[in-house]
Amino acid sequence: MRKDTMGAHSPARQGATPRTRGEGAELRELLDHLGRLLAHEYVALLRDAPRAEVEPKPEGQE
Amino acid sequence: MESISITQAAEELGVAPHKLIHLCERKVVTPEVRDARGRGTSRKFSRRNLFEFAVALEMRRLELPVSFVRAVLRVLRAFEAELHSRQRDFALPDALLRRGAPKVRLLILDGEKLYFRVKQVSSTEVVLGGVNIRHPQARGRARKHESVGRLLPAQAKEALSAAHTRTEVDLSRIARALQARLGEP
Repeated sequence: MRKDTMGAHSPARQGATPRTRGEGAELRELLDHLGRLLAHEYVALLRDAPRAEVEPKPEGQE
Repeated sequence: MESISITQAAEELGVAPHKLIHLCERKVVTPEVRDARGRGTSRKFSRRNLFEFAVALEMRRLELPVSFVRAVLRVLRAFEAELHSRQRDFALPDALLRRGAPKVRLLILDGEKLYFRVKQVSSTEVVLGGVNIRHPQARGRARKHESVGRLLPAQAKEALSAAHTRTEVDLSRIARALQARLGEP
């Protein structure tokens, strides 16, 4: 059975803002990225490597 | 892989089994060894699942929403997967207990911004994140998630000082407490 999207009791008619398509996927991507970033920093600290070897400094900085 | 029943897990963690079942049903923790399929099959958990339960229970004790717990555990899974691809013997929670392992803590500012803090004894602290984990009832633009990254020390200091509330969960300490509960050296 199809979901009621336009009926009297639909979220749209009840005044709710519809869910943004893909917002869950966007969050999951961000969280996965954060996990990888965390791993990257963890390894750098684990090896106690100088920061310059792990991450290039922005241009114009010594 | 170690196989732990729900009863054993509940005993080890000192909670009622229904609390763990609830976390499974809400898809916060997925049994790694075997999931329940209808009547007659029981869930079997790994050691990592125990750690996930321990983190989830601690966060729920602080009344953080399930959506937040799910987000944190997703980050931890990505963290472990990435490290495992570099070091085959890396597995949570044991890797956090190794000698010289950096301390990992999660930080929640104003109840909705997620950060991670990583610190090695001899070096400065690294703060990462800034993901907005809005309450599931928030919709549309209010649920916009910001990009994540490593904060410069000044940015981290600013974010911390601007926050009205800070909630910190020490993941390394949870791993150590779990190890003690399991009666391991």
